[in-house]
Amino acid sequence: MARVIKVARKGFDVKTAGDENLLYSSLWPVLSIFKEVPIKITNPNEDAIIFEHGLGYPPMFWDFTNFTNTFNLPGSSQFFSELFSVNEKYLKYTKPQTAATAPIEGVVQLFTLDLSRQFTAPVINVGGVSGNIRSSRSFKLAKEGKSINSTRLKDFVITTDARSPLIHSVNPGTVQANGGDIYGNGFTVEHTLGYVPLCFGYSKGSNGYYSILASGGGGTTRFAATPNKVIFSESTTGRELTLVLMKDPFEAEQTGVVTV
Amino acid sequence: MSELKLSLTDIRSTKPSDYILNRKYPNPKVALGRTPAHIGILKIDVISQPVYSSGDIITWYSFPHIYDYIPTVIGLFFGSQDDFTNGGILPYGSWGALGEVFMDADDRNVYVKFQSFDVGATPLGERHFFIRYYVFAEEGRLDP
Repeated sequence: MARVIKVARKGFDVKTAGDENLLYSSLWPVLSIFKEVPIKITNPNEDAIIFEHGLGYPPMFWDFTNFTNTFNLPGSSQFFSELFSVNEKYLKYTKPQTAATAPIEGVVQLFTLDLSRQFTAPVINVGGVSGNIRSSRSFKLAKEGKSINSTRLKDFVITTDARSPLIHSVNPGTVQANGGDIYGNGFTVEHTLGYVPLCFGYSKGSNGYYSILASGGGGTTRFAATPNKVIFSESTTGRELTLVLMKDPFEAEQTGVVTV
Repeated sequence: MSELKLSLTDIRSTKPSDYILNRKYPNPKVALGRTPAHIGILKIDVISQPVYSSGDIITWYSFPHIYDYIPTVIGLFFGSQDDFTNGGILPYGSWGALGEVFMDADDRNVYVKFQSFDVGATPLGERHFFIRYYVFAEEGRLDP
């Protein structure tokens, strides 16, 4: 019988917590940062190789910069600039379509997760028992060079005072004819989570570089999701892509209303 | 220096992708129990048909975070919590050439903003959608 190590989130009983309420389990990876690459591009209107990660595979990544579609916002950081991509060796910067007017600053998080390798975690216990466990115990692992007594959350690898995204599956594939929903062509990933998971898409270009898949609802691409599948649809076929499904459900407590 | 590693396959593996926990590779972390919450869903209702000038960036919503630096924030959207069609990651661009909705953060607050591309004469049509957001403790800007 395989041994399993798991730690529940604060307030949950590890024996009954649903998979999505575990801090981690040895059965699936937590999203882990291989390298935080500082970004300060002083010639933003030229393409450049930013960093040689040397992983030997294309890693999942997130980018955060001061660049929106057409502006550089001073003192701020926004997710997904459409400026970065990765292959098995490099992190690359591609100049924006509209010229940037100031240096681009921020950070790119390269994760250890391999976008080219299929992986599916088991579904052990979805839902589970709602947390109502009061405990003074905690689990913390400090980063290298940091103290376990630090009061700064960023100094820890993992801690029961925080939640980290858990990986459910990594799904490389190709957009097929009649593989989608409203646009006809698409790539469908079935899952057995029983709820709508968070999902990130990465598109593989003809140059072998993976970029974050834009799906903002303004064009002819979109995501759709049900409790048992995630569908990426578009009007053309042939795109190579990878869909990464998290164990985190999309549904959550509504924390605010924005009325405009 | 002590090490802690847990592996999906063989603990002697040197491939970062084989580890489920390794002290060298931290995880993006969302602080729990914060007010305002650092993880949640915002319901967005655009009903007033606003008109914005080209190039304007308008803050629609903001809330303070707890950090003294710029954190990392991600947002994903879906049309509704009952109908998970037409989803994706921000920016949300359902209005096409008129503009798009995005989230960002500075060293004080997290923001939901609209960036206008329009020449300034077309009202935004009515839209209702949800944004699922995470405010991570990891820094959103690092100096080289």
